Amino acid sequence: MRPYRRMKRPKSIIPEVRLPDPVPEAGDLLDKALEVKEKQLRETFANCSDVVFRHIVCPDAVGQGIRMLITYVDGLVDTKHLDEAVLQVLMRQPLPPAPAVTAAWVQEILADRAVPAAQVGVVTTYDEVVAFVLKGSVTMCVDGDEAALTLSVVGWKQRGIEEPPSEPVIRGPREGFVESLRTNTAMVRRRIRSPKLKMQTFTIGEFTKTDVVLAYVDGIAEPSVVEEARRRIQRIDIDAVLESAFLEEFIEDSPKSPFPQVQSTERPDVVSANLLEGRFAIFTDGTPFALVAPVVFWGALNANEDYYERTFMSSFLRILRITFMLVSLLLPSVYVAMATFQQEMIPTTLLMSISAARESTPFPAVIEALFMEIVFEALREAGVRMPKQIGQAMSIVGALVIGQAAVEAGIISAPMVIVVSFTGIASFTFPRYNFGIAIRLLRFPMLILSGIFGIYGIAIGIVILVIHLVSLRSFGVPYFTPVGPMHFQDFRDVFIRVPRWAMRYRGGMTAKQNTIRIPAGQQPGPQQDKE
Amino acid sequence: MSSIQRISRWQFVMLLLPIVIATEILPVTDLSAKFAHQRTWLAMIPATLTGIWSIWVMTELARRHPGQSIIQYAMDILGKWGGRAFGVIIILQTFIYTTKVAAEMMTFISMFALPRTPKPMILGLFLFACGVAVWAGIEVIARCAETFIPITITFFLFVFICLLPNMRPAYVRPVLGPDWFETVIQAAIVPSAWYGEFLLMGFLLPFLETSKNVRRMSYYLLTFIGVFVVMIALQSTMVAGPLIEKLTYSYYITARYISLGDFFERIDPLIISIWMYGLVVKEAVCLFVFATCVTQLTGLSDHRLIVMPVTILTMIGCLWMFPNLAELRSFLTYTFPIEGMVVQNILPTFLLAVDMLRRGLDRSPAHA
Repeated sequence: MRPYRRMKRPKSIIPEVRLPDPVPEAGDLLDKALEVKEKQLRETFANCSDVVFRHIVCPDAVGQGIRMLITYVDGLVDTKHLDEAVLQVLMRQPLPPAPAVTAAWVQEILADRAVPAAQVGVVTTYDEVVAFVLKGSVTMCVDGDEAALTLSVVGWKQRGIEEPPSEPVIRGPREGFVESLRTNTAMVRRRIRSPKLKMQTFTIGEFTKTDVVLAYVDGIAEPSVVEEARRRIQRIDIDAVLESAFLEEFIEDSPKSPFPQVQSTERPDVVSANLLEGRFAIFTDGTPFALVAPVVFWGALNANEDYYERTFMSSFLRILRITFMLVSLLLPSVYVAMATFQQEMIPTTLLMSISAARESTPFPAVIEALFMEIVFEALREAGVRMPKQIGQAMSIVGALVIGQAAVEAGIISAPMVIVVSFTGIASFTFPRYNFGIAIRLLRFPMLILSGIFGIYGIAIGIVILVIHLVSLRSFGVPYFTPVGPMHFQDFRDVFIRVPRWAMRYRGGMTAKQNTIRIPAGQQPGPQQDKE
Repeated sequence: MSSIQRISRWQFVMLLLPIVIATEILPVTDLSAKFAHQRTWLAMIPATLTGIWSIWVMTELARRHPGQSIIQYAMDILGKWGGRAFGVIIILQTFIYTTKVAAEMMTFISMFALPRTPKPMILGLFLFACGVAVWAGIEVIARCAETFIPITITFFLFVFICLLPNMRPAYVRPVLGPDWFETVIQAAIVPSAWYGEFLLMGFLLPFLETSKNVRRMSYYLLTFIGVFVVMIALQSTMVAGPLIEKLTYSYYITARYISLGDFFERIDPLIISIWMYGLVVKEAVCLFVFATCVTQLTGLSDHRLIVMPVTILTMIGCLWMFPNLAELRSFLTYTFPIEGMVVQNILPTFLLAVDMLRRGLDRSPAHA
């Protein structure tokens, strides 16, 4: 391959001529003269209509005035605040006499006159100025000095904090993350008021320069796991990060798996609980979804509300969810296997009604099941993507045409419709959407296997699925923990949820160094008189 | 993935459990019943003797050569060529295991579940699943075992409990009687070969994280298996009565007596599904050992290179050696016990004896 390519494309014999670059290189210092600075900046931001350049002249003691250039991106800056708090302070009163007009001196004056601009800094290189402008700061270049001043008067519009629509709760905190990174980290910091909660910032994306924060609790999280996460984040070389999923696909262990190995959540309480379990979280600017890892298979069947409701109810719901996961994965295939191969398993009376219904339908059970499942998936997808007004019309078409008319016309048997709709209901019980997709997808190979091999095919399908699941890892933690490898200690929080005072240990695989969560002997009881 | 994979002791137990339980329950009970009739359950007790013997020899060898598999220390003990000859015999034995397990599966499925499906298809799907597990390595097989074996055991206990109303203890009588000893010993010969399969320990022990208390643990395991197998034999005998010797796969057929709440009258096809989990684990262990054998004997670096050839060879061997149930049953009844006794018990014992002798000879001049 390689020699061939080399033959096809010979190296250019024309020596590369370096064109004079009007835009300074990274790391170049600013020029002293304001005109040069302005020219450079204007060239960089050529055709950027949203970048504002503004000249101001501040009166000083001598009377000739100090010229300054203010640059910012319109819309990212609170202009009202800029005018009131900074410009008026500088321009209304004459500036005191100075030995030399420098940015640092201006900074001092701003500090003296108690300018309430949040953060004022001094930068010296050209690309720093550009970076600060793009981040939403105001930069102020002073004539005659190499340094420039940056003022953080950030004021862009952001969505208010709302209840996350993807993870609603009946009992529990109602706030969800928003698109702003710092608001999100603050929500978590407000819950974990400990200096042990560490947050490390990375900037990823050649064009987007997105801020990404890796959060973990020092002393609980496994240092090797955090180090591995850091390494994987630093390794990412990408043009843009628009959603946390962009990162997720770079840091997961097995890309060739339908199962999500990183959890995404919109809820600060979920992130906080996971951090305290020894996991780490990744916040991405511009999206309300934070990533949490390492996660295990069974965690996907736990909802955060399990921890807020009474333990019996939570345990019941968990067992229900696991059952319905199996139903949503297997019910159509079990139906096909029993109707095609193992009819003896169906109780006689039920068999009568099923076979009576199937008598008039032309298709074999497996074709019928595949057809109905695909139609159901299509209906669901259409329902999600359609505008709400049309969605209603579509659901009527779906329910009437597919459901009723197909059965009455004798094309589809009624039991099949029941099976498919029951499977559909079962697939809505997953607390996590992306996990449910994996199960929905795996239903089809299962269906084909059972159509060919009956119950034996289902058994082998489950075996292959489990082989796949146990060979997965999420940041070094086996995905099928605590079932395979077995950790008896962790069973308190998998199929059932024991009361909080009995959950004495943190997850055995994620927090190895600081395992005890709750000291023993706190089981409550009626008041007992002590003699 | 790290090259050295380790298994915990719990995983080790879970890997060894299906070696006897998965395959003995279905075909062996009725083979023993041909000889011992209602005393089948008694015959299962002396059968464990080969297990005790095998475990003792294998743990003793492993204690003397820690971190090595039987092929590796056979080369140390018997010399290069002797060890290789020994290794070839062990490879052939593991080949018998893989084909035998696959054949048991294939005949059973094509008899009860899919009579009209071509056998190579059934076999191919099964071996594909096992091959995938073997490819992933012993850790993955061990985790599968941890997941599946508890389900299998629970289900078998569930079947036992459900069958309680159908059991008639009178069928077990007479416990003792004329020729009771001879018939029991005769009948014990068939299942005894299965306990000899603890030979596989010789390959699993080097993967163990800690070799502390392995022997005691293995004996506990053997006791559990023994009790379990006796329970299964009692169950079949008490439900089917004198019919047991005429049935093939008596366990499966007796499970048809189960009736749950007058609604589920037949749960026996579930046995196919649950039994398959145990079988996959056993076949994967055997295939893994087979592949490891070949790698270690030929000095290859990774067992994955061998997985596909070994799996295909098993498929061909299975279709060639055991084309039908009769061939398989005659092999299990008349050939396997004797052959197994020689390769599984006598040969490792010979290896241990040579090792003891050589160490003794090495040490005595030093003391003199």
